Amino acid sequence: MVNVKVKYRGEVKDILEASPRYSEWVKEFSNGSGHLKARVEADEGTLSAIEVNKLTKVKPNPSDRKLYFINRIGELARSSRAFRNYMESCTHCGFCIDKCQMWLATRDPNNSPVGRADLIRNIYRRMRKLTFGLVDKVSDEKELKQLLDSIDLDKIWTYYYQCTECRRCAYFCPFGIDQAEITRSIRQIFVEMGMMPPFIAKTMECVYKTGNNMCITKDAALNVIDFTVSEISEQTGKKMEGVVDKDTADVLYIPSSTDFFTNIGTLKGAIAIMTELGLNWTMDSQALEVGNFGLFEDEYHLRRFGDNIVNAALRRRAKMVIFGECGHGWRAFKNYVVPRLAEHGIDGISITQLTAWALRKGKLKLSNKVDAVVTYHDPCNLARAGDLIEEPREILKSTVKEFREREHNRERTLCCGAGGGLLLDELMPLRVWAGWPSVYDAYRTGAQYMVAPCSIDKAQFPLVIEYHKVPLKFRGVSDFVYAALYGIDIDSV
Amino acid sequence: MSLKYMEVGGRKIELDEDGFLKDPSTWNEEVAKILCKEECRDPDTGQMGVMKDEHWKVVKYLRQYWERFGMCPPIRMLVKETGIPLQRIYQLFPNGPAKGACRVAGAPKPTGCV
Repeated sequence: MVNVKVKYRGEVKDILEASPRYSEWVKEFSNGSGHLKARVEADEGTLSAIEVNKLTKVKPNPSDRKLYFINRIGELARSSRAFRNYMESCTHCGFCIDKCQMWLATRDPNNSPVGRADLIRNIYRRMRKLTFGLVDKVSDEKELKQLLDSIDLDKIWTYYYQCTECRRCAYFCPFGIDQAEITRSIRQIFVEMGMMPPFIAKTMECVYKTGNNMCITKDAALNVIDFTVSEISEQTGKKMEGVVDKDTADVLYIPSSTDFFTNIGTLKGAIAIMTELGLNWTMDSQALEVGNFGLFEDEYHLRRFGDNIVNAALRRRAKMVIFGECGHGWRAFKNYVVPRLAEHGIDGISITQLTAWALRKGKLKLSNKVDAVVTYHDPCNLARAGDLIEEPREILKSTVKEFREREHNRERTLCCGAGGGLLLDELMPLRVWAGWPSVYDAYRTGAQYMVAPCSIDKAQFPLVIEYHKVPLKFRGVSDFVYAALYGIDIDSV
Repeated sequence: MSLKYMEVGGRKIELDEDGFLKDPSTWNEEVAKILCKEECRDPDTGQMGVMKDEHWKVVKYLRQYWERFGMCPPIRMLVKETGIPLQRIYQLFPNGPAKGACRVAGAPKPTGCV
């Protein structure tokens, strides 16, 4: 490994050395990150429950797989102008390399946007030498054999499951090459080969069973909601109702399923905001999930999980769907679900848009600002794929005493290191280091709280913060709204 | 992919690749004791594999909840119902409530954004 110094906020110091755990980094990543592999789901029951068998188009024979893989690359090049452009137009200027948190975390050239794309670009280039019988059959066969011999699917799998699809590279690339789209395309091919990480497959299986990522049944959801509203009542003296499966309602609220498990504060915030605004609202027990893991894997599941929300909205005859706190789900929701809802005359907005609007219009009366210094981490899929940048800031500026902007913010935000389905235990060393640049950036502001309306962030950052021993706490946006509405200590929310 | 098993009272209990029970209904207290070897820590000495009354209190509550609702309770509910603060739970189960304590209680590995 070449020892590269990164210029970071004017200091010529390597950002990795700024962590007290640097010596552990040296042990883990001296030879790159090729040793950290996402596992492949092997349970046939799980795979057939999520219909992967239906998508599978090739036998698990290695040479069949390679041939299928190159054929699909050829198809992509023919059918997708974007993909062809990403393959053709890279000049290897290298500008993307140190913009990628995965490269910053591992210093592995294969684990940079250009390196990752080149794993595919090399195949694409060799394929162009094939003349398909135009010159002579013999040279084609020789070329094809060389091409197939050169393909290392294991290596491609490894590095395509070390990309968080955060699109930071796409923001900086002079040609706008979007590695996240290449990653999505390649992972789609892996799904067609019946390959998916167990964590994602099992999460999808839960969506098939219950309509949410965590296998929460209606009984369990009702129990958690009872608990949540009784806590609200203890803390505020107000009686609120967490409405589930009301026959018809004007507003359908879609929470993140983790709000029923780890992020109760966010659920309290959402219930309080909608109650205080006097909305006629409900949740749907079959659609307690804003997340859409299909975005990380393949179009089929992306559509299927998006349709689940559309169907719930139609079932409840809602006029508006309010999207809870979630990062990647917003990209799927805004770009796929909202247009589908619009066909039925239904609006779709984010809870942060609703809250910012209500605060602006004076419809939410805050009791007092939360006594805390906070900084905001822009979730990648809100800032770079969802145009949801100012609303969360507006909310935080109204609800906390001091808001500090960090350097790498808005579209230039640094990824948490666990997006794109990389919330995998087996990738933990990669995760804690890929999340480090963002935590460091937040820490440099001197804030006490790092805030983001994203469940992956809420799962990932506390681990990164703990690992690097940084004096920061992590919370959601609605948590602060709840605390400010009723003058409650944010740590007890 | 090699499956892991453990032997409890002559029965073979199947585990998934993360060491969680494949079939949560195969759980009993003997199974919990074995899983505890990897998950439970004595909060005073820091020694692993020690199962004390506090561990049992957490595990039994989780198991009861799991059998009724098919999921682990929210972490806040666990803290409130057992009266054991979250920090203490992390001292008892270093892998935390979701991936440590729930594993000992026989729940499958949590999915989604956790």
